[in-house]
Amino acid sequence: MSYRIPFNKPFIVGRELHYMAEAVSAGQIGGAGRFVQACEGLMEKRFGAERVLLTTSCTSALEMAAILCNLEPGDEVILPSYTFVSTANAFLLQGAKLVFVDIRPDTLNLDESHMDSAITDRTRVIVPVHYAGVPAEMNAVNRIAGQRGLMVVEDAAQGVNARYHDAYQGTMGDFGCYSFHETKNFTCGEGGALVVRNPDHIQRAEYIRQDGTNRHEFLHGMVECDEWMDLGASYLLPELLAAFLYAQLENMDQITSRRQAVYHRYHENLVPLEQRGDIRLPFIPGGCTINYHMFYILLPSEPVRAALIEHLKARGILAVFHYVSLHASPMGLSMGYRKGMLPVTEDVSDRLLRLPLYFDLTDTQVDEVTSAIRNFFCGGKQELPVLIR
Amino acid sequence: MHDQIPFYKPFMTGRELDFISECVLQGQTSGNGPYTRLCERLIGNIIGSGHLLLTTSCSSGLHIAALLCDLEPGDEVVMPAYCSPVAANAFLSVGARPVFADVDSDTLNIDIEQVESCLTDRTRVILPLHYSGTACDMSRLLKITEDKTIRVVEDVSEGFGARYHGKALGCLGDFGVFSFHETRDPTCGEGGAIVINNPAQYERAEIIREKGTNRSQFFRGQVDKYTCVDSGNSYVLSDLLAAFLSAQLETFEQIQSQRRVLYELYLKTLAPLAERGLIRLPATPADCQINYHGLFFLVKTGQVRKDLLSHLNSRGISAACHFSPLHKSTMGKRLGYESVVLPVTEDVSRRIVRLPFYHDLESHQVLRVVQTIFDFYAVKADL
Repeated sequence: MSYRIPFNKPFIVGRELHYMAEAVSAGQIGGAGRFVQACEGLMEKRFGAERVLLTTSCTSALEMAAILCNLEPGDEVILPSYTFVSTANAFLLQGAKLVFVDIRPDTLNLDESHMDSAITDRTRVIVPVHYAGVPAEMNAVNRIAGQRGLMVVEDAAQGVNARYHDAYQGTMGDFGCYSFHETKNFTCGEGGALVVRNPDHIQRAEYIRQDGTNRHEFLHGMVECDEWMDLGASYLLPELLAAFLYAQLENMDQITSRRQAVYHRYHENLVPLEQRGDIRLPFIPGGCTINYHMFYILLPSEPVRAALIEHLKARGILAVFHYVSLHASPMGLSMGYRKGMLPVTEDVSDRLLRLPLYFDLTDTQVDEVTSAIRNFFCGGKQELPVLIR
Repeated sequence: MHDQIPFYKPFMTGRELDFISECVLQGQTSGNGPYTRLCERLIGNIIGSGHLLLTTSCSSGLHIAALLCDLEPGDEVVMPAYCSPVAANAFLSVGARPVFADVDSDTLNIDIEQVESCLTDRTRVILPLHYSGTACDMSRLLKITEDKTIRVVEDVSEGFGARYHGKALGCLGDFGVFSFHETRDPTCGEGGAIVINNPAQYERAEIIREKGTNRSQFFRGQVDKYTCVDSGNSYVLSDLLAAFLSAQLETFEQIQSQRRVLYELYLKTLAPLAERGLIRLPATPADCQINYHGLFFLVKTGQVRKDLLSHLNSRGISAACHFSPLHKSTMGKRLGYESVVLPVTEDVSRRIVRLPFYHDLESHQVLRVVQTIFDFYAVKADL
């Protein structure tokens, strides 16, 4: 079914197709060519990152980070359950044990107050997820990790170009992982990047990214032939997609300011409903500059959310819920987790609704979405739904 | 001064960018969209099997296969050491241990007798690489595995479209993996596919490709929410790349016939050097139909190869060697393979030469390459 206002829509902001044609005529569409380097250089400079390595997806970046953490079977990784499956799978594939921790009700990020009780002598890694591009409490995370000698892998899939105080997301942990999936602010369909903070990890990260080989050293004339050096897979984003991505990255400010306008318009239009107590709007902690990745609302209950989704659907608008808590998924249950263990996560997972937000979304369309929501709560002749508090 | 002849050059049909714009306009650039399905249909038509999934690379295909083999730590996978580390890494990542078998000096494919001598009670998988698109001796190999619980994962990274007894490579074992890397035709820069020959495993393969979620079933309406049901990775190819690839797959027959012309021209014109015993050209076994992946030959010694490569390179022709044997690599040594002796692998890896080979290579360029090789051997060419 197609919607008049879909949840997300891919867009062309500038020279995407032109750059792809350039890559084609330069005779390089795979491997790490000019556009891969340009994307990486742009982000290193702008985000103040030691090294950025483009990957085929954020999942690939997380998997590389997990390999770089040198985990032993049974080592423990602390992460939220309110996240995408890739955050968990990357570490699971390394034989690690997943320790899910509940989230803060305000930012929906890892709740640092639960961290101490979750840490054991097998804990090796903390994985804060910056939900909706709103930063996790990185000062607290880094302090705890520093005291206990743990690695920090930031899942900044949604947080590209967002800041926590002065630091860009992804640059504060040992490793940071970005996504350029179709639904993200800057995209190439499927893509990602690994941010490496410690220069000592760079060489190994390069090997892992190119099938465990020293191909990049071979291409730079540093070794006579390339050979097998390490674990790894084909994690390198092909040049053709990097060409597309570069056009988006060089227009980062334009894309962000359009998303910001949409975000603020949603916010302004919906504040009255929040004041009435019908919905709750996103919370942005002080000192943070978000990237306007997502606009979500929290509804009073799951039935209200289901009714609102149908209400919007009937008007050609697609709004979608988000993560099904990992600890309560079939995979989570098979690890011994049970429903009821992480109350905030389970509650939010039932009540959160994401509204359409993409570069080409017009002000009129935003108004249409918000008036449909207002109409759902206050308006028209239809009966007001029963709100369960 | 002559123009440079690169080792490879990606081929364009001319429709790739149109398909990509169409993909953006249709509203899906992430994976598993309309162009992914189109590619899967086109590949299915070429190989005669519908049970396949497009992946980000051959490496991803091998990871999916490795996960589907349900291996325990210490289970053994028999594979050639004369190959890229991709397959070895895929199986290491699930805790299995590669066991390297030597290759046959005619085809550079895994030697079936050597495979037999590698079998133990921990052997769970045999991984034949169809080198340069020439099929391994699959009848003998499948006979070995017939009454044992050993899976066969075909590495068809160089053999898309090639056949064995009329059947497409990739459809002979339990799984087959393809590559659409930029050094292949058809290509999309980096991409791959996995064929799942046991339909019962297809659904689990889909789940693994979608990061361990049942997202595909969700979109087909088979489940009402998608959730995490297995381990997996993001192995779905972007629809932008699938759009590119579909333009290439549509012209597969034409790509093949052009590559065949080049291949036969190389073989014919190099034959006098082979007759004099200076080089050894590949021989295609009668039961194999190759896909003209590339042209390689063996020279007499490692020193001759070194000299020949520099002779060609200094004349603007990019010729190349190939795999460094895995057991002798830095990683191979670290994993304890240093004492393994594989005489044929070690020998051919020093003597192999691969010549420029791509769709847009012209006949006069082939003749120039061949002439330059004749000059190297100081043999008069009659081209």
